[in-house]
Amino acid sequence: MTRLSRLPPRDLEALSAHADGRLSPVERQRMDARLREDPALRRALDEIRATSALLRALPSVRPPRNFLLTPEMAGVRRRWLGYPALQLATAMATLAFFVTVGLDVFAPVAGSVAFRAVAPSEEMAMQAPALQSALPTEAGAAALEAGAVSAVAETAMPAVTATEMSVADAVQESAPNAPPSLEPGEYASREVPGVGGGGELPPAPLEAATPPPSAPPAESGAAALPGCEACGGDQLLPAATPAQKVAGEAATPGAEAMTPEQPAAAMPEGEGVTPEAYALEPQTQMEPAAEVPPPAGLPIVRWLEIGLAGAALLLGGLSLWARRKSG
Amino acid sequence: MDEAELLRLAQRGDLDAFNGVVLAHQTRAFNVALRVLGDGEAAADATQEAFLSAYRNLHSYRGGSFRAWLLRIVTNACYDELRRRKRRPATSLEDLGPETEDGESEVEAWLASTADGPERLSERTELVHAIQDCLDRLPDEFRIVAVLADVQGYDYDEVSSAIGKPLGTVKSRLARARARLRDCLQRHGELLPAAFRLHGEASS
Repeated sequence: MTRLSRLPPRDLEALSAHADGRLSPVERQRMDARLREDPALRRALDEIRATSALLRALPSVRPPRNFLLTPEMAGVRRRWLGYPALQLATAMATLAFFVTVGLDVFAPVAGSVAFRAVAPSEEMAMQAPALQSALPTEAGAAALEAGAVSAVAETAMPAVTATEMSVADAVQESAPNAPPSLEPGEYASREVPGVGGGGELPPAPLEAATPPPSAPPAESGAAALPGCEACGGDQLLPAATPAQKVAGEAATPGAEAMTPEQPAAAMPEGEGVTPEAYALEPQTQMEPAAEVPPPAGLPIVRWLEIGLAGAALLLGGLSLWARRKSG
Repeated sequence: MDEAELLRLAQRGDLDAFNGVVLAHQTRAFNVALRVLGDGEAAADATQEAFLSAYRNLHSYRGGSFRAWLLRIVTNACYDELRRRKRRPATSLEDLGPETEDGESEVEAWLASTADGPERLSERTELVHAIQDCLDRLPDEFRIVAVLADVQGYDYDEVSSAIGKPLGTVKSRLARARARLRDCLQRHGELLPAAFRLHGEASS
């Protein structure tokens, strides 16, 4: 018996194609003529046909399971969208950082004027709850905002950690918001040099930011509780107390000064998507306030710079994480 | 609801509609992967991967034969798995080399591979085992063509689109794959029972 693989490759290919009826009419005629003359070639063709038939006779195997896609599996795709959004957020935080540094260095006086004009309008602060913690102007406000932000963070966090998809959703939501959020960033950078340049920084915010040794380790608690003490509220809440409650109680003493803030503290639950969208920012803003020990008299603009740098780093880290997760 | 309608819905994100398509194609897809990879578990993983990839890339499906479109994705999933194996060779079959020309060593390899567990032997008939084993010995690119064209009965054009190679390449790979398979099966004819030898006699 000849070995098929010893046939000239041309003949082998022609025979194989012939077995499948894939020769052109001319080739087929030529091959048929040769087959009539050459019994070895006929045998080779038979062998090819037999081999092909043998392979076709392999039974179809029933799959061991179904390959239906679950929403979780399909949801993996959406996580991809988180990556560009995080990239954008990182870029924006970095940009805001450099703008702030630039203004800090080159325009301290002009910034002061801008601050006077902008600071009283609370609506703008309302539009950017994420940035509020970076702009503590008074003792009460600092405490209030720390509470407000921690409330936002607290209410948004479960939604974020509950499912990974909601992270993606939150980021997706924040992406379209990106252009408007540039505005508050600009406000912040303009307002803050004013505070720094004005030199009217009260000591209270620093106290609020510096956790006393006995303070509970929880970040939100550390930021909110000293703030309450500073603004007159003498209640010392245990670390286990929900941050939202802290925010609510902290809001009361400061209410006369900063009434518009109160809805900000109360709103996140009802708003659904929006607090999620801001979830990343309050977290990042919170961090420097809680963990960086401030030298006495550090101008507030430095705080903003530190905050923005921290936010940029954190967002960059999240971007890397998102890329690894989805890739 | 016909397949085109299901696909239209799936393209708009309807997962249930897509799963309807999965049910219709999964046996075929799994069998392609099974014959190419020679291992049920790896085949199941590759099939799952292929359907996931199909869903993710559904926007790039622009009508035409979904079967051929999906086949290409399944084939790619198999290629991915084969590449993974090359990076981390774990099976003894790989070490024996698919391109063994020497008859003696192939017989030895054959004997060695049939000794890899009675449960595997009992799972399939000896003939099926022999065919799969000879398929496993083929170089990857030959095996894929043989599986698609002969085992699954796809036509040359579908195979060509699935592996992304011209028709001429399909023809020549299929011819050489068949020759090697024939030689492989023929040489082990005595080791195997009647079914195979009947074919041998019929062809001579």
